[in-house]
Amino acid sequence: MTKITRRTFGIAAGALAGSLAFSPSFAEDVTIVVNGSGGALAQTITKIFEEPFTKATGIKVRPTAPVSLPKLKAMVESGNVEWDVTELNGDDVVTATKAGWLVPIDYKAIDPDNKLPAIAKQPTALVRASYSTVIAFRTDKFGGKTPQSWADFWDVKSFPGPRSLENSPKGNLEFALLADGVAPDKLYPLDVDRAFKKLDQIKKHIPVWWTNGAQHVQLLIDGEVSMTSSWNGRITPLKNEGKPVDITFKGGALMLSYLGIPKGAKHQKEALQFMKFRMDPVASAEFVKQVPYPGFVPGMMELLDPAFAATLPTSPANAAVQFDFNSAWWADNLDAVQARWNEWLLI
Amino acid sequence: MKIRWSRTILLLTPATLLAAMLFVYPVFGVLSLTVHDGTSFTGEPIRQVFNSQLSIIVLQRTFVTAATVTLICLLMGYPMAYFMAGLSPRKRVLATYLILLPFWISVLIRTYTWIILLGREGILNKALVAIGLTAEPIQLLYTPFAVHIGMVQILLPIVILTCLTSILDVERDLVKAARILGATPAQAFWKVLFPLSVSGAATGGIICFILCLGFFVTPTLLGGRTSLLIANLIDLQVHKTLKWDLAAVMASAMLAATFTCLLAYWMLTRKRAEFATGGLAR
Amino acid sequence: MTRIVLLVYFVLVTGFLLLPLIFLLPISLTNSQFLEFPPKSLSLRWYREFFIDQSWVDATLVSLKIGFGATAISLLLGTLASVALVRSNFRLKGILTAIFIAPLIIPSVVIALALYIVFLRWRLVNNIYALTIAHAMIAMPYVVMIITGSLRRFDMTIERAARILGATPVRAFIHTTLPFLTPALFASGILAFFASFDELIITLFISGGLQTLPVRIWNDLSLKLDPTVPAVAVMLTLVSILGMTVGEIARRRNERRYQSNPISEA
Repeated sequence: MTKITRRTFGIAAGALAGSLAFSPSFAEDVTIVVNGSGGALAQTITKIFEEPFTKATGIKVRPTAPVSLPKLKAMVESGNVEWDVTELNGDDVVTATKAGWLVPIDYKAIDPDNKLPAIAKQPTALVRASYSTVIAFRTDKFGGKTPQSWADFWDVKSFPGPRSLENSPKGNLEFALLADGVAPDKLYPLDVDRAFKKLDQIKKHIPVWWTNGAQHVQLLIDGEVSMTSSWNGRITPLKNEGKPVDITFKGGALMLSYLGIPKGAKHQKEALQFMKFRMDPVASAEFVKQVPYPGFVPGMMELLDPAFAATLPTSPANAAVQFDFNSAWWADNLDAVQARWNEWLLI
Repeated sequence: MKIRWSRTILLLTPATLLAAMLFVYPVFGVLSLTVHDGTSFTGEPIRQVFNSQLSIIVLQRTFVTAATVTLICLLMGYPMAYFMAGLSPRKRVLATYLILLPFWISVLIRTYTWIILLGREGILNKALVAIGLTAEPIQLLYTPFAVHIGMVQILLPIVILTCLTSILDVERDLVKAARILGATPAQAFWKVLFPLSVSGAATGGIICFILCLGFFVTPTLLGGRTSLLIANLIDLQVHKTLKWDLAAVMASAMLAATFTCLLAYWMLTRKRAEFATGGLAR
Repeated sequence: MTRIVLLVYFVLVTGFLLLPLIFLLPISLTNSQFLEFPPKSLSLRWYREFFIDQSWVDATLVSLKIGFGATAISLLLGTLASVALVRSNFRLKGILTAIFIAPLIIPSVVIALALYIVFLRWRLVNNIYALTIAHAMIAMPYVVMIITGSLRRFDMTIERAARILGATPVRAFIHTTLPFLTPALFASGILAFFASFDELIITLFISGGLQTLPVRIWNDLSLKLDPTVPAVAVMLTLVSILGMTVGEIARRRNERRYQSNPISEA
């Protein structure tokens, strides 16, 4: 992980301190627990957001990991809530909101000037980041041709070689329907039967169904597969090292990641302060330079190099060729589809 | 020799307290979801799990995989232990040390190394192509073969260590005595050492078998879609679908099946003192 | 002849066991951000990264601390219980043995969830002592299985003789049975330590913000895995080899002085 230079870090901290100068109460002994995905990313979040936050407000932050829906369920149901803020995926937000595990968010505290776009402000969760599940492929395996769509992913004649997809119905059903010719704006509600029928065609060309972010990258590097669904962020560093890989945003699924406050959290006021802090454009820009998963922080894109901004999943050109992943549909149908998926895949 | 009742209680209390507080009480809370939904008794979770072919197939697959891996480990491990037992104490320490070195490397990273080695463009396939055994790289990863390699690499040291312990327990003097009384080395091995050390091998085998049943990371990363084991299915119910009652049913079924296997083993070997294991006391 | 065949066999199997380790060394020396073999260019970059990123160092120390603590607790409690299980007869013996072994059989994720629920209630999440004791609980089955097995093979006449000659039960045990148990104690201690050192699933649930080494690696795995992980593995192995060598030298010195070495029986 690249270290953030002292200078930019200082600027970010200064800007943040300024923007929060009005907050009078320095609650010295409050520690909020912020749950995220951990790993190397946690270091970046600590340096860019958490340490300056503590400096500005006196509120200490204890990061925990990983993001876990069963933990959220256990803590809310038992009434002993460990976290004050947690990261959540789109359909996790829907599930958790339905079950009543998240508190409504007071946007007057986070966004007093009403600058955040409406899409970022869900009733129980604030958009933290966006990412895309896209097609990643080896540029050296198809004789100069590059796959341009999920139809190409399914086309084992023009693009020979083993492939990989995630071991989850989420996204894959959409990809199958796109490959089968369904228009991106007509995807939902998903035609599950048709999707599984299309998936039947590709099943025997998929030796491995990946389960985590490190795995599918490794599959491409090792040449184990020539094409895979992939998160957009990890392929650029590979390309920069001269590896023959690339991605296309065409047909990608644009997904959102959120921050939410568990019901019964002990420091909800401080949690809101922290979420406000995460919406600072300078710090967010710094963060996106490290991890290319941008949120909808107003003023952030303007701080980025235009060439870099064009590679982000939310850049206008990229967003136009993707479809918006519908978390709500999945939260409603996940149980049934997951059961069918397991039977389809594992027997 | 029998020890006094009061002393038995004194010896057992700490371990029992630990197991009761951190295992029996919490785990019972979750496993009770098998038949109880929090307010009343119900048969629904059990019905749901066993209505689906999937859990039964995966449960079967888990026990078959555990049996084959255990067999391989025992066949590979016992001769290793026998060889090590015959070394001088100093060399034996060194050998034990070598066997245990892989333990320092997390199972996660060991599994990742296999991905790199066994891949289509990995070193093994390159070697096979280079010596002309195969023209095209063969699919080694994401097959039962890869899962077995990964599991054996992880479990073999455990089996070797338990076998070695039992061979060392058998007094070397006994073997020496047999030799002095005119037994050939082979006779001394088959008539004295082997029967007496089988119980240790059995302990190792049972530990290995039980550990196999719970394997999770290796099948996920090295196995294809039909290599996933019951622990993967349970994890899915805990993490993805949040159906903890179904997870509880599967865990209970697995617990019951495991104890049935162990009981059957102990019944079969009850008359044979040499198979006495650290299992259910009699 | 047999010995030579066995020696060759030993070398082959040990080679297989050490195979991942042998390849991890070059993989850890790469300059790339990714795991690749063979590496395109060599560098110590990822070894530096380990020491720069405080969370790696912390995770290693936490893992070692918990590992040693859990081993000590499980060895003590497990050995005491094993003596009672083998040498006395009572009605609940079968059930008690089953309970001691069961943590090995129930999948970790179920234990993890169960422990998380009660730890939330008892406010023990994010507590290193609670984590150590939980690890001791999952390490104890190894101790109980191996020590009871060994105790059954022990010829009680020796301890009985000591008792007849007037030794107290504890003294008789310490001087006759305990030396006999040395290999078993060593084996179960090793297994207990590594059961804790490599524990992932339960720790993920109950450790709160504490990161052990496997948890640190796992959290990386969800997004990216860089060669720091092989570098850690190589360093741990080197440290353990170093420790072993120093221990061996110290032991030889000692041995020359006392001319006896019960430890080497392990």
